[in-house]
Amino acid sequence: MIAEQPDHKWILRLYVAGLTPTAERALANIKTICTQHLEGQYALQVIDLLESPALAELDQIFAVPTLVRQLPSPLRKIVGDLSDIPKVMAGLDIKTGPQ
Amino acid sequence: MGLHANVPEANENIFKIFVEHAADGMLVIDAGGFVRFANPAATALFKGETQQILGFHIGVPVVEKASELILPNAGTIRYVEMVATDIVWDGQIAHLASVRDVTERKQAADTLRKSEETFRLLTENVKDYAIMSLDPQGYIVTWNEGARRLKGYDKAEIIGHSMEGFYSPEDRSAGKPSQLLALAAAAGRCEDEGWRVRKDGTRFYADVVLTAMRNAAGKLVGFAKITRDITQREEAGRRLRGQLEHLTLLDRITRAVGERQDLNSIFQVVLRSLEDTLQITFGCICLYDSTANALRVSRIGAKSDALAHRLQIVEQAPIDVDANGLQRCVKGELVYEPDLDKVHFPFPARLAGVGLRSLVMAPLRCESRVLGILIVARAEAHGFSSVECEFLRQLSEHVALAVQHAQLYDSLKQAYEDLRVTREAAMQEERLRALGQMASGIAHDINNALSPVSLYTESLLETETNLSAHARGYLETIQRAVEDVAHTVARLRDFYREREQQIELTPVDANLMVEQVLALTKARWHDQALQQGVVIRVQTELAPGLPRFMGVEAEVRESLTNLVFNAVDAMPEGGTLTARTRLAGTRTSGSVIVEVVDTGVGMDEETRQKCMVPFFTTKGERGTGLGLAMVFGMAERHSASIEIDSAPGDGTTARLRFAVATTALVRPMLPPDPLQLPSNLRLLLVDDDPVLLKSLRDALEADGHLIATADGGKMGIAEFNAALERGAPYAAVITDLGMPHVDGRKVATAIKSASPTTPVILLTGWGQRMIAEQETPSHVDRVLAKPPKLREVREVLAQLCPLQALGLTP
Repeated sequence: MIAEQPDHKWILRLYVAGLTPTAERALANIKTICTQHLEGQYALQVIDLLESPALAELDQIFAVPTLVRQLPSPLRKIVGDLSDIPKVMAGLDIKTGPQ
Repeated sequence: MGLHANVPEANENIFKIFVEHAADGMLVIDAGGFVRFANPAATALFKGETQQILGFHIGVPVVEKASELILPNAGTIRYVEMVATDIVWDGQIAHLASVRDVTERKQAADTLRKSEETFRLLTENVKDYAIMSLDPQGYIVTWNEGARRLKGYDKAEIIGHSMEGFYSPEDRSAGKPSQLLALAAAAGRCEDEGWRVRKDGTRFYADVVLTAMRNAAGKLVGFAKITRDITQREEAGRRLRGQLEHLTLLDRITRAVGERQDLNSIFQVVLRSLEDTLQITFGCICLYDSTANALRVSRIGAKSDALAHRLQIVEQAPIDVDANGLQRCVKGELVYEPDLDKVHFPFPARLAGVGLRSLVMAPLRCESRVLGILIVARAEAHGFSSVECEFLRQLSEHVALAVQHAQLYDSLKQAYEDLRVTREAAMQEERLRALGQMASGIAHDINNALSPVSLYTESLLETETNLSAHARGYLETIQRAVEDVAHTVARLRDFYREREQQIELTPVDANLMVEQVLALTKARWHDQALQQGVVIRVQTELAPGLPRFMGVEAEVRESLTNLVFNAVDAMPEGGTLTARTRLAGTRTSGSVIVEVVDTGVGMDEETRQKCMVPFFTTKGERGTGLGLAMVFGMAERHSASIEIDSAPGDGTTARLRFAVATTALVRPMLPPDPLQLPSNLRLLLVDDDPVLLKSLRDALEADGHLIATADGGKMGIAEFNAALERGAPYAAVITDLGMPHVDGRKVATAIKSASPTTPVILLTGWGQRMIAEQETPSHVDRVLAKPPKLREVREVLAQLCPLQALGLTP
């Protein structure tokens, strides 16, 4: 788990319930996106609801895997295995090309 | 499928119905990730049936086709498959997400996966069974721990190889592996037991179950193979079978032994069984004499004979009890030498010398006694298992028991035999006693009956000077015949008592004897034989001028007569009888040989050896069994030898060998003394036999005596006393011994009491016996045998009555 750092522009949380094949795929996809486009400016947190079931209710997670963009605001959610990278990037509002 | 604004009104209604009632959940999610529409199925999936999920921030769906998601808040965790499509909703880009509940399917799959995993773990970790799966061609697909342990191959090195490698080369070349696969494929399953080979080449006895595996379509996808090592069970079974075989063998041998009584055939059965069943290379049985500490080979196995010959172990040969094995064995211990090359004692070394390598010596022990030793050997070192040793130990106990029984049986048989012999001897003695009594009775009567014949013949020859040569010849023959009869009668008693008297030996002419005997027996070999249609040719081969030998003519004649009769009896179909004489050696120190040869049936060796035993006869009722015994007795008395040569079917030669007489032995015949014979004696003759009285009286009257006769003892005593009173006493009394009421002894006593000086002469049919035993009764001056010889009577009278003869004249 990567610690939250104030100077990170991007804070992403991936909610899973155990490392299912779909969760693994989702994690791999978001890592790809982060390393390619948000290198040095992001924090990715993986939250396993099997370990912290209460967070599902609290964070309003209806299905996992769900990727939540905590920062920058506003909060955004993407549900699924994140396999369509352009769509994920669009959803997260990441501009293509290195920043 | 998408919901579009431009769908006509009617169609829109239909779509609405579809959406409302669809089993799959349908959500419309706007570009911001908020739920804008949810059909009832979707609502139920996410929050239960009662709650609305419109406006929930679920997130923008980005999924590959049919991604599996988890709904954490739906009460229990549910698994859904989501498919998302971009659509236009209220003029804006939105997403249509279709969600299907796959929880149950997934749970079922999980259960299956888990049970498969459990099963895999189970099979992989089973250690006592080799479990593997094979493809349809028999190549190994999976391999468990048990298989590794059992067969020695690691999983990595064996998977992909053919299971044929587990079979022996013989099984492989016989096509067994593929046969088993084919069988399992056809029947669904097959089982097999047999020897399999490990990686290191050692073998184990396997129990194999091969099961065909088919998919749902029935297609053969491979085989499951379970193999178990049952070597121990198999060996235990084999051991059990071995023990059973040994028991059966033991039973068979003891039965066979029980049916036999003699040691030799008992041992033969035991050794043959061991040779046939245990396949021993060498076997023999020795008997043990504990007092001498000596072993003697009793029996050698038939198949061990050649080896025994090389070992110089032959039946009845002694074996030294060497200090090692044999000594321990005769003390009652079973001795097993597994490798004879390593034992350096004489007996094992001897066996090792002919290639034997292992040896078992089992004592034949009964109670605490060792009766013998069973020796078995094999050409291989360590050739006997402990089971076999145990078997041999048990067997030897049984054999020992049988040996003891056989020995008891033998001694019992011996005791019976001794009893039989004793009883027979007693019976023989009884027969002889009876015969003796009878013989002496007969002798008495015959002697009495002969007396007149003898007296008259002698008297005639002496007194009738004008006899014709013809008449004289006849009388001489009668006289000789009477002498022979007297001799015969005397010898009748030879069978029950010692020789009674030393009969005077005279020079005997063998040729004369042969001629006389052939003449005497002609009736038998010629006339009687012809009556029965049998022709017996008689020939003589007599050596001329033979020297004489000393003997009793009557006995020699009788012996030859017996030999001739035997020869005739031996030729029931006819034949040739040859009487032969010859001289062996010199005329002075050689021997005269007389042979009687027939061409008859002959005798076997047993008969030949027994033929001279009294009462042994082959003639049945016709024979007395005394003929040859008499000949033998004659030969003994003449210091002659008798030889019998014979073979069955080859005729018989009886050979008598008499030593030639030396001159010193020949006593000159005494010329009769013509002088000093008394005459004119008053003599009283007492006898109950009137014929004898008359003949003796006639003979003595011819000598010039005055004779009075008395019929019986009583009358004799009366007459003697009356004569005394008359003053005309008798000069002597001649009385018979055996008379009714008053016998010769009483007569003698009476006479001596009246006139002690009057000589009493006792005449008796038993006379020779009395003379021999010096049994002259008291009051008797002399005993004379019947038939009385005139010469003897005269001599006795001359000795007893000289005075009267010279002086007193009545």
